[in-house]
Amino acid sequence: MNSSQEAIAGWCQQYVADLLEVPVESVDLDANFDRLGIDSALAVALLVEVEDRYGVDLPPESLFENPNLNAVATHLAALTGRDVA
Amino acid sequence: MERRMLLPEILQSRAARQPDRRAYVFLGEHGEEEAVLTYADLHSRALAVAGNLARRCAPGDRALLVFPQSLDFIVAYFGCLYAQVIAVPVNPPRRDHIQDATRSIVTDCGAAVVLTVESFIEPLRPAVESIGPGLAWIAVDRPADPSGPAGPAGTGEPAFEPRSPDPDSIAFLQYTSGSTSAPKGVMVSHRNLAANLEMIQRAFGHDENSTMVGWAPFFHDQGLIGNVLQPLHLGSTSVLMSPATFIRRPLLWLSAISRYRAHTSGGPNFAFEVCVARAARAIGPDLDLSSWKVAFNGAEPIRAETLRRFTETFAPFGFAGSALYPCYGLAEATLFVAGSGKGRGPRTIGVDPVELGNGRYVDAAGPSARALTGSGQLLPEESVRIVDPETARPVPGNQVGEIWVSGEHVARGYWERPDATTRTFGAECVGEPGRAYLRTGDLGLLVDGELYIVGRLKDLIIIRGRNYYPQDIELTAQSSHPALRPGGCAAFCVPGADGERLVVVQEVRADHRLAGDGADIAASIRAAMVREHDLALGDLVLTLPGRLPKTSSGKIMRAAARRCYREAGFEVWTSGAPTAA
Repeated sequence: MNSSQEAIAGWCQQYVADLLEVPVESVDLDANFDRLGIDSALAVALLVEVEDRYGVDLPPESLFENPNLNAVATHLAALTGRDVA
Repeated sequence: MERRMLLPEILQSRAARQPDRRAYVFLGEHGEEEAVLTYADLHSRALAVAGNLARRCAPGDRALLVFPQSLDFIVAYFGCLYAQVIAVPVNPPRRDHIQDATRSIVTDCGAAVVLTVESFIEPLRPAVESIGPGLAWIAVDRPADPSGPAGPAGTGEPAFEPRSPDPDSIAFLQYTSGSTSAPKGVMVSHRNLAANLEMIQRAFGHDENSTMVGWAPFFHDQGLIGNVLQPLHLGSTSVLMSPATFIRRPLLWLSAISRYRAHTSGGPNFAFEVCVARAARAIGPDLDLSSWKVAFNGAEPIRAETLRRFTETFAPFGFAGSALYPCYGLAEATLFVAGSGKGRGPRTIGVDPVELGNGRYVDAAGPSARALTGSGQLLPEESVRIVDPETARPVPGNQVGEIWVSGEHVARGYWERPDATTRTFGAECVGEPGRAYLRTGDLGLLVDGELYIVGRLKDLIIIRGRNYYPQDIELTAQSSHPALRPGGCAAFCVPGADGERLVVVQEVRADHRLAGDGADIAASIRAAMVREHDLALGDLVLTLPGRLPKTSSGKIMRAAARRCYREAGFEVWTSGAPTAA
């Protein structure tokens, strides 16, 4: 599985677009979670998916410290240790 | 008649007779025991809080309880009961942001004190003091300060001596009913609590060995009365966790039930739904749900399909479908009004949806029938009527009407709102002069002694067991960006794949229709929704000015807007940006 920052960010973008039922291009990777309309239940759903998919345990606080998808992806790429970006 | 023991007396007696028994266990994010309170711990810490309160305010004053989900909340709550200070639990701030709803509660209740934890004081103080200047702040997790109250090991000052409260005095205010613009604090008395706790005990078949597990928020009536006060009333142990832990690891709820051999646990319908969805991933082989006798399901519409799937999924782990326990209640009646029988299982009827729309129950089967799950039976301690809200006459059998409730569990009214109190708590049913009924605003049906909830008299949005007023959602949306038209918003729910979807239709102002930035406007609305209500929108439609149906006086017609959304759809406004959807 490609775990570059871009690949992870792209996957998160699609996942959030599906959750919110909005077009994928409208999900801004640099927008704060609040501006994407992600409430705490959705933030946790995203987190659980990410954990399952990339096999990392990301405490929820980290999502709130970096509350945009690019930052989450950067964090994850570093954690998986296979960052090619 | 023998005088009932009230909660502060019950705690004192348990602390004296069984000091080392575990009253509350709090589980951390991985199910580990993070904190424990024995009766003796709870009693002595609550006394310390009461002593602290007594030096800062008088009995009858209000204390705001601002806590993360933790056992400190329970210490603060009993501290208030001991000091006869009225506790006012509120939703904890989200990332240091105090919600508008909480601000309006601070003002409405006229709080004198804030009880909280040390780590909350710094970030909250400036914002809260701008609303309620001169508030005293008490951190209940701070080790006794030198000027603080003397305990048994104290500094010579005598320890606080709690006195028995008047049963009709207010124990706490439950603010879950009103909208932000008109918050309504339900005044719950000691008598109301004692009566409802006894009703729950009997209807759930509880005794002192009935261990409970719960994760509902403590500022919510189900979390506080069902999961915290009921076990104390019984003398049993309550195993608690945070709602965030449940949302993150739903199956931890079930494994806690299994591990602690819990008798009773429950939540709104969505909780059962979520467990089914997560079950495929990670159920440990040692999960054993055979101890679970009462799996209560309330606070949200109960779906027959959810109950069926839950039973099917967890039967291999010892779960008995007959443990499913639909129930119904509301904060205005303390908590509990109707419930299934222990071991009886849910009841479902098939109804003709067209007839039901006309307010009549007609038995139906086949694909066009709608399944209605019962919310249980009424209790002998109360009087419940199904009433025509226009005429105040009870409706004939098999007809839909508003549910009216009378009994010792019905609260005294709304804090400092005499008009709303008379309207809601002082209804008189034709044929029963002199008896005051609570109007619940819920529409129901009684069939063979079972209560079926079929809808709401007024618009109310229920998501994950929490009630939201559409006017609050609309106000938040239209205030979030200057391009939006005040009074040009409708919020409503439509059925979605898994429960209700929240839809907001918002008109853009005429003078912004050409230059407005659609992406920025949408993001502002969504952000405001998360900040104020922690809600994600199922759909957001920006439309042109004047497209929402309104009454002649300019009021939004939500039902008509909902119909338009589901049928023809609204004409979507898009900004100049070519990428806009």
